[in-house]
Amino acid sequence: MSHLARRKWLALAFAASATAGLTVIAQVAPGDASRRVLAQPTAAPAIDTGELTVRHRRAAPRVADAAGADAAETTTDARASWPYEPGKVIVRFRGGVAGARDASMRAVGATGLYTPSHANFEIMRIDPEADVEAVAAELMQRPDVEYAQAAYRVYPYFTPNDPLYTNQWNFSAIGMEQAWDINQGASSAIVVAVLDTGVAYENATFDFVGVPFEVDGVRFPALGRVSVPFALAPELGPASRFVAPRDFIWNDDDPVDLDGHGTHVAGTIGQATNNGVGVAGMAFNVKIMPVKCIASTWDDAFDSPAIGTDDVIARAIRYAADNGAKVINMSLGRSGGPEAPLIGEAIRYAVGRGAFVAVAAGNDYERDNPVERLAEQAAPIEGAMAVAAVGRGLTRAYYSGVKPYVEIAAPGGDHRAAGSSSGAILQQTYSPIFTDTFTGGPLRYAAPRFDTFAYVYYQGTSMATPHVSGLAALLMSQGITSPQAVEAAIKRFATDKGAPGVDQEYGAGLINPRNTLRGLGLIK
Amino acid sequence: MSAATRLTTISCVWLTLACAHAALAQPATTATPFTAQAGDLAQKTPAPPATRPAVRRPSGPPAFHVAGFFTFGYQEFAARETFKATLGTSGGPILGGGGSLTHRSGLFAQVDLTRLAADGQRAFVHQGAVFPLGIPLRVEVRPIEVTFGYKFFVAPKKRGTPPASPSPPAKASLDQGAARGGESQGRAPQAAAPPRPAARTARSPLGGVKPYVGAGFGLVAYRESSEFAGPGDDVDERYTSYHALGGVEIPVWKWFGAAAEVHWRRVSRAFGEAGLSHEFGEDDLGGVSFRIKVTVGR
Repeated sequence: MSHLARRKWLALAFAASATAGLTVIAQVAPGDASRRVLAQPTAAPAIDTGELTVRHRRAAPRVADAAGADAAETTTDARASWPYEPGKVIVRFRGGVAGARDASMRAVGATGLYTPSHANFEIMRIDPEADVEAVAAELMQRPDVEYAQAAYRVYPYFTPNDPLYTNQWNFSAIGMEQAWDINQGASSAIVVAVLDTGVAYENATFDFVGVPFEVDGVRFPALGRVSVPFALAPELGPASRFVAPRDFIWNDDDPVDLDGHGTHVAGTIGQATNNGVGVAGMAFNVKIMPVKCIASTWDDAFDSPAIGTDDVIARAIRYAADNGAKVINMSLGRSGGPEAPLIGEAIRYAVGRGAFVAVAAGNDYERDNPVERLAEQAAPIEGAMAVAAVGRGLTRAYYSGVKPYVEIAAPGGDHRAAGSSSGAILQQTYSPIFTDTFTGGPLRYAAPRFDTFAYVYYQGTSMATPHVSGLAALLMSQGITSPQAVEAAIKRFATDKGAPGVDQEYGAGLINPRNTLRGLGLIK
Repeated sequence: MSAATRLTTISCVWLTLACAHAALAQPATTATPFTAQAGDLAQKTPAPPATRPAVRRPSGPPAFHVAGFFTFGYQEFAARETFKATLGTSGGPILGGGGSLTHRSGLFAQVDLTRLAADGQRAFVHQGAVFPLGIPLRVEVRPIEVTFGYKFFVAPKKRGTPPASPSPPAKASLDQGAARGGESQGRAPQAAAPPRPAARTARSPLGGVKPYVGAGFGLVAYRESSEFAGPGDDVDERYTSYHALGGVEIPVWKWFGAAAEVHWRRVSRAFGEAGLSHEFGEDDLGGVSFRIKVTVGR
């Protein structure tokens, strides 16, 4: 394959994946084809879990204000409709006051009094129609009562305890905490296929034969035969979580990630959450199917037998559908060339097999806003959605494509609007220090390591797409099992943005996981 | 003019007519026996003026009868698909009670309160397919209704008259009066029976079964609450309604009776603007209910 052709395909494969703070480099891979060899499975090395470019802050725990006092934090979800259980007052009487109970009960017209197990207080039963707070206040006036209060309802208010969660503005921006109250991370019955550069899903060492290549006019020498270590991303594990891995770039069953893009995307979908480590993910209980179908810089440098082309992508889609994927995430795209009917057919096939498909809508708005051929194919199919990106301000990210096929918007990050990389999407992936060794020039150029992780900000519609896939996984586990219905629900409950109704910037609007998961009642 | 206003106006007119009818009907029911009796006496043996006040005036039955009732039954909602999607069924059991005021002419007014409460789950609908979401939902419908109607009675028959030669009503009345008149003259032991107003003595050909029909208006309190509700998510609203009903009353024992009733209600503007009712295009919170009433009273 010619140098220009390689560069072109690389550019196409990554059209949907802009990165912030990282340098994406195209490279040259002439010469004989080389094959990688699995040298040995390895134990996971020590992981650098340091976060790049952001300061670590521990999330303040959110506490439901049960007694109306000592609230650590107020919340917008007041749940005012069900503040307490009717007909029930919690009372503690002072000791030594004879007849206090009977007198108090008579005073408020109580119908019963008992001490529940494991309690140093008593429960007073009153008229279910009575104002419980008023009765409690009346009891509090009595000298024989130490305290009295309504039985206020307490809610989980699930907020992940992952220390970097507070940097994940994207989840709170779409109300994921309320959504997680309804559905905490889907279930392992849902398989989400990540069609990408691979996923850091196993501990292994592969031998590659490197060939000379060139980046931005700088020529890098051949590395020759090198052993490259890979590790399972600790925030994606355990290894049993991954099902039916497949690599269409190296034509084997080891779709390891030689870039970090796929690992980042997989993290947004299903990062281990509430484990006290790092960051969170949308649907953290799902199984992940790593399907490698686009080649990265290193795949090319190691002269992979295939690169990400329409036929490879189409085969990957069909593979995922045939192997039980209920959601297929495609954070990839192609903004050049003619239409891609085989992609459309593959997506229809997957939807017909019961899989929902999310496709990135493209990052080239400022580069003449070209047509994204894969997103274009997905849009007319019920059960597949083209996803645009918003920044922290929940307005369209500067790069996000504006086209009629845009169906929905989700957080993809916008470091320009935010003024820093913290406006992008934070997930765990490889530390670029160990993967992008070519950024230091030929003298520092060395074999990469894919066993050291960091928390890195990426932005792009590639990052928005897994939000939609994660929501689809949550919906599937909640009971909306048809991909067509998943798309309809996501659109139905989206928060309208931009021009009223459906528009080319946001489609139906910004995803609203909480409302979508909650569905409909009879009147509302 | 709104539907509720129209209903109220119609009800007021109906009530006025009912009262007027009751007033016109009164001589025929309460005064007639005594008048007939007095007439007979005047024709035959004019009584001394001193004795006239001594004539036993029957106090007569009360013009109105009051009864209470307990209701149970089954409500089938008009918004069948909406309720099926959430509750798994298009209706549910109802419980309630109320009171009625029946004029001896058969006209009656009643107030009743029923309650239907059911648990289900929230759902999503796409192209007619329902996807239950497993989020608990509770529905409570509490209508309070005012009904005006008429209970059918057959014409009174003379007690003891041989079935083979029934007297015409007018004659029967005269005979009855004569018999009563004779009471003071020591004739006709059967005349000892106290005079009974028509309504009391009326007997249905079905053995006391009284068909009735009615219509009216009401207010339906509707509550819908579900898990994970935020402010404003739950519903607690009141809607006006109108209804029609028909049934039969069956005397059981002394003051106790039973009734079987079919009740149709329309509650517009409650459903259809959002939620599943909008998805299904159903706009009526009403429906048909089948009720059994246990009545206590006369």
